[in-house]
Amino acid sequence: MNKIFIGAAALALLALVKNNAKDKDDNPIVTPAQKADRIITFYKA
Amino acid sequence: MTPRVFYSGAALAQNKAKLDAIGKKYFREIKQAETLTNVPGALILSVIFTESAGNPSVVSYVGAAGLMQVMPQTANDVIYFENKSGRLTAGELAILKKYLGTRINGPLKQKYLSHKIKENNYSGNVVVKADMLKPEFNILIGAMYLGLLIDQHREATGLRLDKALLRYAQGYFFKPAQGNVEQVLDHVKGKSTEAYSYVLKVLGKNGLLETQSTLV
Repeated sequence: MNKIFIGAAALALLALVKNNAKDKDDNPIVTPAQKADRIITFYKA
Repeated sequence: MTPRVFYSGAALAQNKAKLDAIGKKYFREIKQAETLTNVPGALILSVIFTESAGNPSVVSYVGAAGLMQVMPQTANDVIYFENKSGRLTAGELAILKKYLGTRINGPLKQKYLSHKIKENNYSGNVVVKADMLKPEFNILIGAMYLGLLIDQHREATGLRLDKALLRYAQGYFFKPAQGNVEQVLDHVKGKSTEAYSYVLKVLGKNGLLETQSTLV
């Protein structure tokens, strides 16, 4: 009986971990507009 | 830009000739990547020069490959990031599909970074070294990566190419120091001579961007 409970708990924990999986990326969010409108000039003409 | 110097004045003519040669050899691929990603061709060319000196077959000891020395996993992640943020354009996708075929579904269907799913054979990556050795694919991915980093470093004081280049050289999750360009360079100088030199090669006095400004 204990084994069943332990198994069920392990499965629940695994499901929780999977549901919480996400990007561990704290860099700024980028947008399509930033890319589409990107103009970079290095020197004045 | 920074007034610090990596290349002496004596290196300028040689660098200019080399940039010109690489620029001519990969003109179509660089121009295409510039058009699709809005990353200036001069910056793409500077990175190719610095990373591989124009040799498309170079593979580093950590697995970074090709002209712009991108690791296969990073290439996969760049496609994932750009798709996730709605920035992957039809033009980019067409070229990526040309090389990856149905493997493109891997990064497109990932729900998070390194997500292991059926479409990537539960590995979190579909890109292989051979892909990175194809100039057109390599340059497009490198330019997309540069563009992503550039957009992550748009600060109140302006675009921080120094920080974007440091992260290109050191890895996506590298954290540049706070402060102005000189403060960031001072900080990295004591930690990585290679990364410090990288920025100076591109953005410094006599650097590759400055050299190209006199090419035409």
